[in-house]
Amino acid sequence: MLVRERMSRRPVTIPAGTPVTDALRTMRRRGVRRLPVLDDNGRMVGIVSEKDLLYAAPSPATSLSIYELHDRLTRLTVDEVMSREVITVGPDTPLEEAARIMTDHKIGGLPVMEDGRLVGIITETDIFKVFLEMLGARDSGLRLTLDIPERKGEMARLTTAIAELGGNILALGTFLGDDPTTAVVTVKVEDVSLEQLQAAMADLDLTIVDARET
Amino acid sequence: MLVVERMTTHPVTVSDEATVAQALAIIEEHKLRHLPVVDKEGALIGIISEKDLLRAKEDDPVAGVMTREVITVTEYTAIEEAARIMADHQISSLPVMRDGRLVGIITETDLFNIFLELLAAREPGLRLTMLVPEEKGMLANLTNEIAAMGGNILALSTFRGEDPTNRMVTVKVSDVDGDKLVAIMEALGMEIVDVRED
Repeated sequence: MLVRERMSRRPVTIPAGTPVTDALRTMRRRGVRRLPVLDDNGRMVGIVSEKDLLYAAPSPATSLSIYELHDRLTRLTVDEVMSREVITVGPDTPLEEAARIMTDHKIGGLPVMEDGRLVGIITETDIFKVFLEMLGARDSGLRLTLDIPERKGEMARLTTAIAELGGNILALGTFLGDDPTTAVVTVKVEDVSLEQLQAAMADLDLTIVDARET
Repeated sequence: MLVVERMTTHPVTVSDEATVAQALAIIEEHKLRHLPVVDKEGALIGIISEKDLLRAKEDDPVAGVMTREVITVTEYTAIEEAARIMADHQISSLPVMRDGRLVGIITETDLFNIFLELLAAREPGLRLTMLVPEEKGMLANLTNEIAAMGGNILALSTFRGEDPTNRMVTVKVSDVDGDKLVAIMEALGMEIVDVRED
């Protein structure tokens, strides 16, 4: 799964000279939390987040009058508060690599560049949706969590047993176990009963940690 | 995977009598984006985000600007259910309750880390993405072939495909030869989308 498959194309951008107040309004109207900032030639020169804008605005507790405040805010432009060092990815960056960059740098979105051009943006929200997709959060089925030995062929044994019962795997996720000798697998299946699965897992000597209908 | 396995226990909280400035100082010190608000008895009565605080006056009491309708989960909520609640309500953290008491918090950041774990993002291996026909038993075929080659599956995830007849699978494997793996998958009827070592 690569960035290109889940990014937003044609992201909302903003010219460098835009007043902070207008940028905040654009964000609210378009429902985004960050905007790539473009210069007059359409080149990306920075990125600005809603938080950058909120921190730039003087606190409501300031002693400035409402007129002074308004004046200051409309004069302050996004290029004065944006981040100039923009971390970007390419359309062929793996999705988990984009997610790793976001967590490691504590940022919520990455512009996607191809041949020096801005072609999209991938955000925390996009990653979140993929996460729901991976674990079948919106599908109904029987959801099992199992402890499985960290050994070659275990995943094959598990999926084969489900296939032999006529079950359809809707989602499957592998997690780190409590120690390096075990892994935790969460699997969502349909067309098979809990009793059948319990018997099959017992035959394989796998421990069911949790079972629920969703 | 349940909330209890990946939540933060003993979350940092703020008293409802604290000021906005005090709450912001706590948020900054602990690098948080949200604070559960508790009363004198330690009962959860609200939640406040960094953004709510930035929009408020510094000497306002937290109680005046917090969100009172707090959406919570329990330790036994499925992790993807917590993620679904966050996505549907556009919120990025959920207090975790047990018998009416606050016992933890689960945030977008925790789910992000689980996402990396699911895709084995921090482990080296051969990473293969392919379109798999939407038929029963295909995942079993795939995993059996990898096992037969002596490969070890580090991570396996399924995604929506290009249309309802297929789905996309990303698998990370160690101890296999990439070219051989690709050839075998193609023979099984998989369409290879991307291959890389990382």
